[in-house]
Amino acid sequence: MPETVELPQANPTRILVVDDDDAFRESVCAAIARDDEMVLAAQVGSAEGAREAIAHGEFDVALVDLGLPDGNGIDLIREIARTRPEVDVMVVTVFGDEAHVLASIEAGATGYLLKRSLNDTLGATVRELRAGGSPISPVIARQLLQRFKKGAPEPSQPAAVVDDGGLSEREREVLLFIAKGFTVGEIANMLHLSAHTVATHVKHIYRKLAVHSRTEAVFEAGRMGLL
Amino acid sequence: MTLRLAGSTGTLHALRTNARAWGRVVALLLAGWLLAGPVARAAPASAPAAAGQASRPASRTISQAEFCQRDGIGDTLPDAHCHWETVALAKLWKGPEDALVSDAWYRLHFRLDAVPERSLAMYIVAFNRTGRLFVNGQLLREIGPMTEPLPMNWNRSQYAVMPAALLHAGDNEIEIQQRAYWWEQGWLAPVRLGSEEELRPIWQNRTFWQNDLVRLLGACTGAIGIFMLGVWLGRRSHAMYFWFGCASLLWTAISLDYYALFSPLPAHIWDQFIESAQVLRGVLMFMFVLRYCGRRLPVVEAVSWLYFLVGSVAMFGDFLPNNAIDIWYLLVLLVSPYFFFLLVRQGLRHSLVEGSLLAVAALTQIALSGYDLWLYSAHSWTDRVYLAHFSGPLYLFVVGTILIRRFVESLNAYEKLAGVLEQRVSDKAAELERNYEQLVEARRNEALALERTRIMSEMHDGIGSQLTLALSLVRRMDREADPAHNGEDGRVATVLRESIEDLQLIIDSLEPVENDLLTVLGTLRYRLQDRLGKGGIELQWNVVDLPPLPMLTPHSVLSILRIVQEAFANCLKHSGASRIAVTTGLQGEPGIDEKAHIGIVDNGHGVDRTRGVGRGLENMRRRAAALGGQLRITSQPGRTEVLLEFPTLRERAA
Repeated sequence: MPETVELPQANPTRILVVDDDDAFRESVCAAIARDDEMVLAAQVGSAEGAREAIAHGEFDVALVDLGLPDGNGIDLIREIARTRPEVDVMVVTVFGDEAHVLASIEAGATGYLLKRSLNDTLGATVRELRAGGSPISPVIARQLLQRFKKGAPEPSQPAAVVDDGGLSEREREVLLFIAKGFTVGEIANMLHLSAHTVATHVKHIYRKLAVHSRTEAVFEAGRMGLL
Repeated sequence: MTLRLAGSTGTLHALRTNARAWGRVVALLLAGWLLAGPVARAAPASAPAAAGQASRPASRTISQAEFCQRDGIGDTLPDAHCHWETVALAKLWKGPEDALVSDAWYRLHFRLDAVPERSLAMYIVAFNRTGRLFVNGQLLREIGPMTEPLPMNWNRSQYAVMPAALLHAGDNEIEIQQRAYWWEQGWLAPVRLGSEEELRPIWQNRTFWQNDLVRLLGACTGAIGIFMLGVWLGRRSHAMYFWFGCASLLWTAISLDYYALFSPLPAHIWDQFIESAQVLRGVLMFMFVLRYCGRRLPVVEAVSWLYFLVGSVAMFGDFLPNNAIDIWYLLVLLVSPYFFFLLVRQGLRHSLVEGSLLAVAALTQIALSGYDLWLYSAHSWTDRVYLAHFSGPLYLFVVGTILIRRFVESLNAYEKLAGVLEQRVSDKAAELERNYEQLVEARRNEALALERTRIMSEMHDGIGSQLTLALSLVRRMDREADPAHNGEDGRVATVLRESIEDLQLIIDSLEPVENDLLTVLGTLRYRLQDRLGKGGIELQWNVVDLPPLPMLTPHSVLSILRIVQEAFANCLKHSGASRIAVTTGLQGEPGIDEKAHIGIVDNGHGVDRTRGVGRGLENMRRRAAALGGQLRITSQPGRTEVLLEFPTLRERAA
């Protein structure tokens, strides 16, 4: 992944907001406006508008809602990850549940936000993300460990088996601690690392899962004769 | 080795029908005095000392006789027409082949200075085949029936007592009538005269060694043989038991020849059977040794059987001259050391003890055969016992013991194996059961996962989104209504937020936590992190890792989440604590009474009983009871602990 560059204060983070809910968009725009380090790049309420913005607009972070009237948020995330690798994509979810979050990460998202607490946490999360760190819950950490060990948890789906080489020993360690409920700060203390490094590990892992998912998709497509 | 034995006894039998060798065999049989000597010498000492013992005539041996072989048979002493000649004893003779049986007569002379006070004993170490004993013309004793079938006496010494009344001072005469078949030789060993006390023990001793003991050993080998055949019947694939059983039973049959008074078959056929049995036993032992070594030599085996069959047919058909019979035996004798070698080597492979026992048995046989050979070549007609036939049973006992031990060993091994197998089967059964349970659980989980995904998506896109939207609208309205709004949620916003949080809890309880209690607690921590941070509360995560707890179903996870969340909420709302510690632990025996516990300890001012904690607490207790556990709350200013304890045994599926 590209080296994370600390943005100078003079260059506020440009945000693209994709959500079909006007009230929510409005509330997010207000939150962005309140924060000096963020600036609104564009706000769209449909997948079509989003594609337009992705193709022509300039932005550093995209906030994407999954349920759009004319398309799937996952496809948008995948498109951004493919065409604008320098952009950080954050998925906006209601519950931060494993199914939605993992699907987004596989598509290329590196962060997620809870819709209801977005007003309070948006600034901090975006800063953390731009600095190279991603949020992660114990359940997602556990699922990632599973994913990198055994593949997809649902037996009905083709198992996405990842080589053990997919995760470094340290990354595995970090995931395990998170799965056991430890915070990034506590893990940093235990492993004698900085909290920032631990958070960076998480983002690395997200990227690996996305890369792996793409490889897997290509592999699957090749196997099915599509490529 | 057994073959060597077979050969040596075989040679004995061969000599029986072999005119040239006759003298040597009789000499062998007479040679027993060397062995019996000590017994004989000891006997008088144990006999009651008679007053006139010193004056009694010492035993004497008559080794010269007048001999007359008459034409045909007759029960009276032949007259002077018979050609009487003086011969040395032992005397061997053979009748004409055109008569079934023929007679020979002996006259032995001895002098007595006076009529003895007591009767005089007569001991004849070898006498073939039957006959009658007279003293001074008076019939003393019939050795056996004089008519067909004649008894078997070749290996039996004879004893008779002459009453004093039949004796007189000066010359006395013993007349002996002897009758034998046409194909064999008759013989008379030197005749010994002496007191009963002296000669009876010698005779009894020899009878024991040469006849009674052989009978005993024959019975033993017969029992071993039957046992071995029984083992073989149960285990047809183990041919060595069959061959060994046959060899043992054959030995029993052959031993009849040593002690039976009458042959079980017509005399001529029996004698021929005994001849061929020596070779047959060699072949049987040969087969046994090969099977014992786990080897098969089809060509050699076929040649052996052919050798035996051709020889037997030729002998029974009287085509085989006597010296050819000797060669027939001799060849078997010559190959026997090779089998001895194979046997001992195989025994040593199995164990040192087994090899040593076989070697001892074999060496004994060789030694005894050598001893017999020496006796045989010494041409001595003494009382010494012929020994090689004792080494046969010794050998059979050793091999029999080894085979029985093997049999017992394999029984033991089988039982052990059966035990292991049983263990394996029950292990497998348990494993299958576990697999089945896992399969059932996987199916259930799969169904649950599908259902979960559906509900999740409903909640996410439906009620979840709507509640979130409502909350956002209410907050905006609050802000618009009161520009100086401090950011605290109003009453409606609070209700909405708590609804969403409760929904969040339900959804979290459905998340895949892989039965890890720490992930469950960690999720709650993750959700509360912001609120704790805002409240300025430090959270200490003093947890201990726990093994996977199968009882952590969504239902029980929700109970735990609600209890712990309530405990946190109490800390946040009422306690004024600055620090909360979460602990976990296990105690008790896994699978029996194991319990997990979760502790939430704060440093607040303790539970204020005057305030309405009651209802929340009531709910917590109810949920703890639903988990099969209990809730303990200890509170004092500065330390309040909520301890939830619940059993880790899998919840029974409803």
